Amino acid sequence: MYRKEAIAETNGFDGDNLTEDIEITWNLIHHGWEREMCLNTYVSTTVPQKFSDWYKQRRRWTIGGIQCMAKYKKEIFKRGMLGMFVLPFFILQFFLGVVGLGILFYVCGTNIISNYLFTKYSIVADVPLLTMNQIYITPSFLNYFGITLFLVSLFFTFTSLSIMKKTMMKKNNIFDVLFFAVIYLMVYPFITLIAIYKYFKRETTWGTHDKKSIQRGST
Amino acid sequence: MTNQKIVFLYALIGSLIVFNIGIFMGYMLESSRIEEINSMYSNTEMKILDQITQINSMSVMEFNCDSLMKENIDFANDIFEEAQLIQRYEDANILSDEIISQHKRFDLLRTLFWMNSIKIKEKCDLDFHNVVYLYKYNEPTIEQKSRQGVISNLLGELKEKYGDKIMLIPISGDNDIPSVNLLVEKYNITEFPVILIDEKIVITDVNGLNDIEKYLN
Repeated sequence: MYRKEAIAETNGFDGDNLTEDIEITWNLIHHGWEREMCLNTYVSTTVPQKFSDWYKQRRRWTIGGIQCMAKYKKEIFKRGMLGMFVLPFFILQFFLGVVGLGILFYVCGTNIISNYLFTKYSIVADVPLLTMNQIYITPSFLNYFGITLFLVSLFFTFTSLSIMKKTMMKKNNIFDVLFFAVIYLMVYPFITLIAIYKYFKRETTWGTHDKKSIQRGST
Repeated sequence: MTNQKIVFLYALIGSLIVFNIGIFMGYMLESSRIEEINSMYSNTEMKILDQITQINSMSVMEFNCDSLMKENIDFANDIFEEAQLIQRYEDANILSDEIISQHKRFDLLRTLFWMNSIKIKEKCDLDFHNVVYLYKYNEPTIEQKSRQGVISNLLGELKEKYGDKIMLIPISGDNDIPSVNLLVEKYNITEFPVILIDEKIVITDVNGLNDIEKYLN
């Protein structure tokens, strides 16, 4: 719910932005308007039913996020919620996503090359490819940390769902939760990368399919 | 309505607590592994000092070749297993660099063991081979790391086949230890990994067990 005066002062929704709802919120913060989040509000949305639709929606949102960050980049670290929290949080999230993906590519790439060379030399030298020493798994603390974070986030998701179930959730199943906790979080950095590419190629239009989605109200 | 800034603050504090607990647990895990290596080091150090004492005291007491040989074999077996364990711990080590200095201390002990092994062989006129494996420790390339992994397995096979006939001594060749540097210079070793057999033969290109075996028979 917006105050008409606020919309008028901020020149309304930015038609070039793919996440105009976020943009106008940041714009309102920028112009010093108060915002309140009503945690008791009942909100429903039409969610994509196909993976391809979900992918397009998330890519669009991510491009919109980049557009917002680019538009308000001068506000970073300036006094207030936008400069001190919202922008640094968004930028850090993007940065960690891209860097994390870079590290993943590096680790997977070096492991593939290393295993290929190891196998090649082992065949030439006629030695076993697998010895007892290689079967032992010695996890680093990051492995334990990752597993713990995963379990904690799973617990958080289930707790949230159990609370929501009482008020708004009609149904949920374990597959949806696991999909969210595993696939969603793993795919998202890739979507970020593609969104950055699309942003710099200036492919920031809604597209035919997405226009249909707007008409259905699934933004 | 809940104060929104307090909610953000709770989330920040919660995240910091989880993060710090994670770092603390990680530090504890790595410390316990270093503690284990320290304990192994103390045992190894005691054994090597005992050997040195026995060799040096030959002028005042009877030199027991059988006992020394047995100790040498046990020691060589321990060294190979210790090296594999330390390598695994090093690969999983992220927070602390103490394990690197531990590695240096072990390298020194292994060099001492090598020198003792030469002396025991000479004084007791025994028929075993010193197989010293000098490998690249600091920033090996992917290619070197893969090659070293294969050589390590190859030497494991060799040890299994020849048993007490060989003393297998792995030492990192580029860990900036003066005594190791002197030996590397003495044997004209310019690249790693390399296998040195009986302080005479330097093998740089190992493509199979035969490349080593031909110098053992």
